Amino acid sequence: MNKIIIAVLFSTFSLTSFAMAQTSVLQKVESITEIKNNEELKDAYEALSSAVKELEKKNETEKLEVAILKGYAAVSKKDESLIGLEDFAPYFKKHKAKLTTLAKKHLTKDEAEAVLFGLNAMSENVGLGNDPSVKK
Amino acid sequence: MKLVLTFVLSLFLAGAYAEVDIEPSVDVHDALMDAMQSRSLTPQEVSDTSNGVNQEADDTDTCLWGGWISTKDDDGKCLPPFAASVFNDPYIANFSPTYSARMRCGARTLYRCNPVLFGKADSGRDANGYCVDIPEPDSALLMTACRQAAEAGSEKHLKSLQEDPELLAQYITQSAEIAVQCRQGGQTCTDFIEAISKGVKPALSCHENSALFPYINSTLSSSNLSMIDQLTGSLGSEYNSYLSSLLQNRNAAITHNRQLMDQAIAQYSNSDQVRRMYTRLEQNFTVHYNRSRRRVGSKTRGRSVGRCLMYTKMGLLSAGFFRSYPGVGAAKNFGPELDRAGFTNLMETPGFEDMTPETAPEGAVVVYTGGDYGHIEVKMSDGSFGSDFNSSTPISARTRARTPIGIYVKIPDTIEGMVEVPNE
Repeated sequence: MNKIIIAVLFSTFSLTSFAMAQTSVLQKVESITEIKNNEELKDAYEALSSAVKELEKKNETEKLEVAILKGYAAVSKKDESLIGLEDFAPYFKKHKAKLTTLAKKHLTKDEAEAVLFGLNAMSENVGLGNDPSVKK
Repeated sequence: MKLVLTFVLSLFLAGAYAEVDIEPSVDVHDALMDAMQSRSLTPQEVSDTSNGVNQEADDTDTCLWGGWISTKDDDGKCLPPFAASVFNDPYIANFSPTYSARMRCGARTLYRCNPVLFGKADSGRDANGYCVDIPEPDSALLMTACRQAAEAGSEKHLKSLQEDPELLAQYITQSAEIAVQCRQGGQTCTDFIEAISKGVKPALSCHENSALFPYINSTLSSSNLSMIDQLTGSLGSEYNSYLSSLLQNRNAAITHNRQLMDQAIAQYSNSDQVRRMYTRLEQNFTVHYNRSRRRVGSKTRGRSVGRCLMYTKMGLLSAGFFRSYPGVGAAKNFGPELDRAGFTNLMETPGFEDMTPETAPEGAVVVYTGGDYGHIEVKMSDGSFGSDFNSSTPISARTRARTPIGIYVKIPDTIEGMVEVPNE
C-alpha cells in the first residue's frame, strides 16, 4: 500500500515538475515576437534551442512545436539565414510530416516557406556535417 | 593558528638551515633553535596539526606541507601538494617543481620531501627527492622525517645550489613565498629571513644574477619580488628590470613583425586567388546545392542550407588554394586542412591574438566551434561574411552558440625582415 502511495506521489511530483519546466520554456518561446537587435536575436536562439531540447526529451507537445515554429518564423525576419534551425533539424527529420502540416497551418505562407526551406535543407545534413557531400 | 604557522615555519627553518647554510655556524643555529623554542605550541595547537592538513594561518592563501608550497581548501585546511587542484594551480606552478604524479613514492605511507629544500639522492627512488615513511600524513612528523633524510646529503645539496642556477632560483622563490606568508600570518619573521638570506647570498655569489632569470617565473607577485630582494640584495629588482626590458623588446618585435605581416596580409586580401574565391562564393549565394553538390534550385542570398563548409570549399577550390576537394565533413575541424594548405591562423600569431571576425582582414577564412559541426565563413571584400549564405554580420554576432577558433589567411611561411619575438 505504502509503495503505491509513494509511486503515486512520485508520479504526481514528476509530472508537475515536467509541466512546470515545459510551461517556462513555452512562455520564453512564445515571447519571441519582434526582434530588435542582435542581443535579442541571441536570446531568441538560446530560448529556441532550450525548447528543442525539451521536445527531444520525448516530451513533445503540439503546443510547444507550434511555438517553436512561430519563434523561428519571428527570428527569420531579423536573421534570414536562420542558422539556429540546425538545432531543430534533427527533430524535424523525425517528425517531418507533422511539422510541415503545423507550419502550413499556423504560419503565414511566407513564414512557412522560409522556415520549411531551412529545415528541409538542414535535416538532410543531420549526422553528416555541414559538408554532407563528404562520405564518412 | 599563528603559532602553528610559526611552528611549521620554524621546523622548515631548522631543516632549511641544516641543508642550505653555506657557512654553518653553531651559534646562528642555536639562536634559531632558541627562537623556535620561544614560540612553542600549546597542546590544542599540537592537536590541530596532528590531522596533518591544518598547518597554516587561515588568513593566508598558501600553506606549507612537507616543504611543499600548497593551497588551502574552503575550510582553510592545507591540502596535500599531490592533490591535482594544488599541482595544477597556476599560482603554485610559480614554485616549481610541483608534487605531480611522477613525484609519488609508490606506497600509501611514503611521502616525498620537497627536493628544492631538502635535496635528493643521485639515483634510485630518491632521485626526485627523499621519500620518507611516516604512519600518518602529519606535517610535523613529515618535516622531522625530511630533515633526517636530508641530513646525510646536506653538503651535496649545498654544492648543488652553488652549481645549479635553476635549483638556486627555485630555492630563493620558494623561500621568499614562505617568508611572505610568514609575514601575512602576523609574524615579524626576522630570524627566518635573516637565516635564509645568510644561506643564500654566498651561493648567489657563484652565479651572475642574470643566470637565474630564466628560472624565475614571470608571474611572481610584487610582494614576492620584494621579498626576494630582502633575501638576496637586489635579485628581485634586477629581475623586474629584466622583465620590463624583455617586454619592451617583445613589444618592439611584435610591432615590427606586425607591420611586415600587415603588408603580407594586404597582399593576400588583394590577390587574384582571393578575388576568384569571392567570385565563386558570390555566384553560389543564390544557388541551392543538395547534399551531393548538385544544383537543385535557387535561393535568396541570405538563406542558409546548413552547408557552409561545402560552399566555402568550392570557393577555396576555385581560388586554387586546394588541388582537390578536401575531405573534412564538419567546419569546426577544418582548421588543420587550412594549415596543411599553407594558411596561418592569425588568432595564434603574436600581435594578432585579439583579432575578431569583425576586425579580420578581407578574404580571411573564419572557423568557429559550437553546435554539432561548427561554422565557417569568408570575410568578403565589402566586409560582409559569406559561405552558403551572405550576411552583413559574422555568425558570432547573431548567436552565442558559435565561437571563432581560427582566422586564416595565406601568407608566406617566412617573411623577410621578421625578427624573433622573445617569450613572455
